[in-house]
Amino acid sequence: MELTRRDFIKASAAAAAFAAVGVSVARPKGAEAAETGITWGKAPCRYCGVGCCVLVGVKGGKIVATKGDPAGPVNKGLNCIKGYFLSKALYGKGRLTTPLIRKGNKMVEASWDEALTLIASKYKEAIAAHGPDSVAMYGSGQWTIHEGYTASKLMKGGIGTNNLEPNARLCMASAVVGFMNTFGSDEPMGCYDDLDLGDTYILWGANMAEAHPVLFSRLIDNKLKHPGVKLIDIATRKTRTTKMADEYIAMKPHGDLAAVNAIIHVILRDKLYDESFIKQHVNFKRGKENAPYGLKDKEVFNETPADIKNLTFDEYKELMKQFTPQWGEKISGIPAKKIEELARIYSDKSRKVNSLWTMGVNQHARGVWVNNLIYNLHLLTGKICKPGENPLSLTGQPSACGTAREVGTFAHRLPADMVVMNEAHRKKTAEIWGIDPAKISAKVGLHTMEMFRAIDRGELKCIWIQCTNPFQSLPNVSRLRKAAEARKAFIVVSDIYPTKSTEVADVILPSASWVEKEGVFGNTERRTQQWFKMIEPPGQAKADTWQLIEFAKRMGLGHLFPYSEKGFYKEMWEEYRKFTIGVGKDLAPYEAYAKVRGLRWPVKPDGKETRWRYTETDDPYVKKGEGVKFYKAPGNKVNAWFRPYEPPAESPDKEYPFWFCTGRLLEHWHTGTMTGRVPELKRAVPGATIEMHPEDAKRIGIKNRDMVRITSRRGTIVLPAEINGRSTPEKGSVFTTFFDETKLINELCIDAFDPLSKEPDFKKCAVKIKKA
Amino acid sequence: MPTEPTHTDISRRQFLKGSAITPLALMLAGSGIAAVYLRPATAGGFTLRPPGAITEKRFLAACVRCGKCAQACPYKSIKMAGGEAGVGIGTPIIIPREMPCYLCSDLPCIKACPSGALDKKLEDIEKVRMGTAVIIDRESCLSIRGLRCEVCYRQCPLIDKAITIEPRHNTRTGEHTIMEPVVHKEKCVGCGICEQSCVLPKPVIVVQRTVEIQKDNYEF
Amino acid sequence: MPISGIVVRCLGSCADSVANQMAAFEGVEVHGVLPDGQIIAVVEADTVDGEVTLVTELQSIEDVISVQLAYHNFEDFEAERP
Repeated sequence: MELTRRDFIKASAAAAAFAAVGVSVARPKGAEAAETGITWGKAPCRYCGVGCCVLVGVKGGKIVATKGDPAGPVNKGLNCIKGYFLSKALYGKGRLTTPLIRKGNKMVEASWDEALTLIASKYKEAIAAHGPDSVAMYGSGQWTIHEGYTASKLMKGGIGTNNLEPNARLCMASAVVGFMNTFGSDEPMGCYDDLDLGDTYILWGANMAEAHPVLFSRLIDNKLKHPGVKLIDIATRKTRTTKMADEYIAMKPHGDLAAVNAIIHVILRDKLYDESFIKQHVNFKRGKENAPYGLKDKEVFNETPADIKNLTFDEYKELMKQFTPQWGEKISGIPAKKIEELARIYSDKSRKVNSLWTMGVNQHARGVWVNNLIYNLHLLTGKICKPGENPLSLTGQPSACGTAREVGTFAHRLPADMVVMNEAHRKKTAEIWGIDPAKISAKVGLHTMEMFRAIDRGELKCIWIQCTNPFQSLPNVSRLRKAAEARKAFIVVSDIYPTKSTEVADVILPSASWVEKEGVFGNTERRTQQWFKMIEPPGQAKADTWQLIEFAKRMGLGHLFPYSEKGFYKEMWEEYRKFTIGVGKDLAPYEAYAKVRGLRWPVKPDGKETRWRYTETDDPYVKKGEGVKFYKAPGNKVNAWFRPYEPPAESPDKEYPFWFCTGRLLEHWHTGTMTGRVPELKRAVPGATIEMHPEDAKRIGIKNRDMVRITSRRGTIVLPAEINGRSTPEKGSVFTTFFDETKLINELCIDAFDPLSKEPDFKKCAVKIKKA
Repeated sequence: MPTEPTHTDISRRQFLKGSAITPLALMLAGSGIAAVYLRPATAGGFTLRPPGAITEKRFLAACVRCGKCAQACPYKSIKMAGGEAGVGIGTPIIIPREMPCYLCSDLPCIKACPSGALDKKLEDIEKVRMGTAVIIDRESCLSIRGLRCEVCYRQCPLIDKAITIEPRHNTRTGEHTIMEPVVHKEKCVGCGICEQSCVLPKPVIVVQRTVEIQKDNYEF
Repeated sequence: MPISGIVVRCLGSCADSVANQMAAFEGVEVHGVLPDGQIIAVVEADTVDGEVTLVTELQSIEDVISVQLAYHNFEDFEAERP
């Protein structure tokens, strides 16, 4: 008799139950086949930037199990609760399985050919009438490296526009600019090993306990093992991170800009700096000040070489004299005594000091400046490029580093730290891509906020969104939603589920997700992780690379992607890898990644990874005897920037008396399109709440779980109050999460952004609160 | 085992099959009641009552099965027990997995109670003692296995009081922390939010009968 | 469609009667009864919720001490249906 798959499963279910009670039984033939029929493959987790390794169990074309990979160096078999239910992100209700085309108010099923031909005709039409800069693509830090690379080559090398952006503009852009203008190369010198090896950790506005769960568990273990380890949480609300920290220092929103300056002031005033390190490695610079906030459309602000003034160390010290601890206290709310203390901690020669930060610093109207200032702390004290002693910018998406930053899917970038404005960079890129250098535009494309505003202004005719959900995640989102609903542009959205963005699309394309395709991600610590396709995507869903290349063929650009069907991923990888070799960002041959749980670049000629950059102890680009060498910076000297205090774009006033801040929690991820479809996570945390300080709540007469109306100048929402729950904001501020797709929380957020990084400030705007 | 009977000696299953009784309270309270209430066997026969319920034996005598507490409950957490509850038929119960008690600060259920079965002297929600949460299955608890779950802890309305995290070194990985949720019975009100939010198919944290604190002279 | 292997514990003397009661449920197949009162069964339901309900009902059978999950599979057999 032939056993059906169901019989197999049932037989193995019974066998497993027998095994659980220690009885072995004669099992029906086939049971073993069903059991041993599981093939396990490795992949990085689909969610955050930590980059946990998971094992994926596949049987009969379906994922039947996932588990943390014990061989994974990041997580050693562990996961957070999102990772535990990882496979359910693919098997949620409502997967998109067929292309859909808008016919009036209805979305009608279509074939791939119809959909792609329609998209191509719209793009061609727009390009013919308004030029290539009238079309755009908006991608993701969740794109695989291959997807980002395909998009970049297609848009920049094929269509001839730099209107290509990743959603990483909303999370990592300030970190990127900070790395580039300080070190001349993106991404950290340190790595996760610093969490095990250091003894002092200063968190700047980061709720690591919830946003980087497994990493936090690693950091706390260092504390458990070594009682001298100190964790200082500087933040605007008390969180689960605070609970495990040795010290919490309350700071006013935007206060970091003043606090770090004041700490530097003390380091300089009391000569706590490392003079020889400074002499050897640091230049002092002053940039452009009185910067705008990006609130006006088409506002341009650039820091060109002409705007930059060189300073001597003495001039720099003189300039910093104004930022006294007393001044710092006034602006940041951190007591002057604490500022003095922090300066002593940062410069304590017996302490290995690490700074950690994420969105608190990056989603900041002066985010680049705060990144610069944190680097100054480490550069002045020489606490950098040493095992266990580094600044570490944490990322939030699985391939914000690998794809958005390394491939360079931003409007101004090309692969491996190169930029479109630089002729030599365009030439090198064109050479590798096998195209005429003139094809790559020297004009920086529209950054994310301007890209979507351009839809409202009617200037952008076509946009293709892949693997992200901007019509929920962008600030001041109602303006952008209205523009889309008014059909001001032709909008294509590729995703795996219906989202707030597919709602406004003209064409919806069903995508393959995660292990339904082959891919590579790059995490926070420069770790590049590869996985193979393990299962087929549902229905007619297709990988984003396939979608883009089929579109390219219809645009007459198929020649850009001459890879064979069988060698597709390897061939594209080897082409991309050419950008990275010899420039300090070296990636390994494709096969190397198939065997390991990731490698941290630059990968050395012998195939070994690099844990610490710019130091002779580990980096192959630094010769023995050179100590620390910032070889990516001009003249091997990095920049310490003078960055003064400038206020936030919007502050509380009489009418809108509260600060409003948004962020993440552990159970859900981003806009909740995946985690919201995992019943267990939905049960644990069904929706967004508004966190308030108990005294504020009492004053307004709000009790726990009361419905509260929160109104900003841009929008209004009603949320249940959470008082004395998992987190408590400081008095005068409220906090909520952005995962809940039933609440468009970002309607309230101001679309102010950092003038250098163009990253919006999701952490600060003014709202009023009343009981609903 | 509980000392007070929560059902008669008629087999629950038989009772259900043979039962034609529709208690008045069932009709009053509307939807949720028709659902057969079956507490996990792990609750040890314990029935979770609304806040302020007096001891079970006296409660069964005092409760007039009017359903007013259920009507007053804004979250419909309070349901009226069906036939399987035996002598407790028509009395108010809370099934945390369906809807736990969200601890309204004004305790509307107690205010609505006409009989004194819910003690009106109780005014402070933190003084409520409906039961005590207990991690009944340590081997399955994801947090105790080293995963970053701790959902019960973060959802606990008395976070850091009724449930705290006891971090300890994970000897298996050698570099992570096991963040174990620990329930403190002197603070736990037994609202069942932890039981409701547990992500496993069978909650590993369950509200059980409160065991009195056993006092002696050791103080540490 | 979820399929699970379960181990039901009950008092040794009641195992047979419990097994019979269990077998009466739709979606439950009893695969074995051990002398110490452990019953091995396979549970099948249309949805995970249905499965949870079914398991909860099994727990309520008189004399059942506990129901433990030993194996869980949630793949979709849609493709296999004729």
